[in-house]
Amino acid sequence: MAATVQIVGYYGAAPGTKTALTVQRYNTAIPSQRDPGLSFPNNIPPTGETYRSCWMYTGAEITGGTYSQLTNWRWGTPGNIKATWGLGSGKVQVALKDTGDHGCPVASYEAPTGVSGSYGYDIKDPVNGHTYYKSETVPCADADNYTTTSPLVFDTTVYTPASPLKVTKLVVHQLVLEDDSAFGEKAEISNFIRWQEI
Amino acid sequence: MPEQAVNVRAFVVYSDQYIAEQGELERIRGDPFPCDEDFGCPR
Repeated sequence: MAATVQIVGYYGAAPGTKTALTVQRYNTAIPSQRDPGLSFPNNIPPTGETYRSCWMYTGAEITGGTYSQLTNWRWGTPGNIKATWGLGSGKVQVALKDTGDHGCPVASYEAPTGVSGSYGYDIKDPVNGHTYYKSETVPCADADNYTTTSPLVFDTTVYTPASPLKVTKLVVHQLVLEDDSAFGEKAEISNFIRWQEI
Repeated sequence: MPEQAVNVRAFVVYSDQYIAEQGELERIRGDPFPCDEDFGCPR
């Protein structure tokens, strides 16, 4: 029997509320929400400005099953989010670290802030950004760069049945909208989390 | 290799600022094609 793994997100005020999920929606609700439907939409900015969704967390939790160890956790997209969603010069951006795993430890969770219903702050905002990432030299990456053939390795921790915490580090990502992004309800896109299991 | 899907959605609208900006541009430009004028070049 293999390990039982579920996808999780974290929402709300720190330390964040763990939420099992199969779908999450980029939105501008503060406190953050998994999927507020058509409430708290993302907004196309006026000329020359950039608006963003609140940043969003995605990771995995080992809930049971039989296994020796799980490691090499990777996250990816179909590689065509910009085109599928008509984002123009916008994108989905994902936070990176200069060294080590790119995922954010659960203990470093930080609630997204911004203007509820309008925009969330940039992960890299020098003042209001994510403390775990905002001072890193490396910029956020385009999520379209991470696909089945070149996924983002976000956690190299080896999890065993004895591991006290069985939640992986968290991929931190947000929708970035420019003045040439297209409006509308976007088609659901299927990302993935993959791991090695012994 | 084990894998699980995690789907993402988004709903995007024009911000109030974007709409105000477009309204202002329209006001400045005026109607570029008044229907009672002929823009063809006379022979």
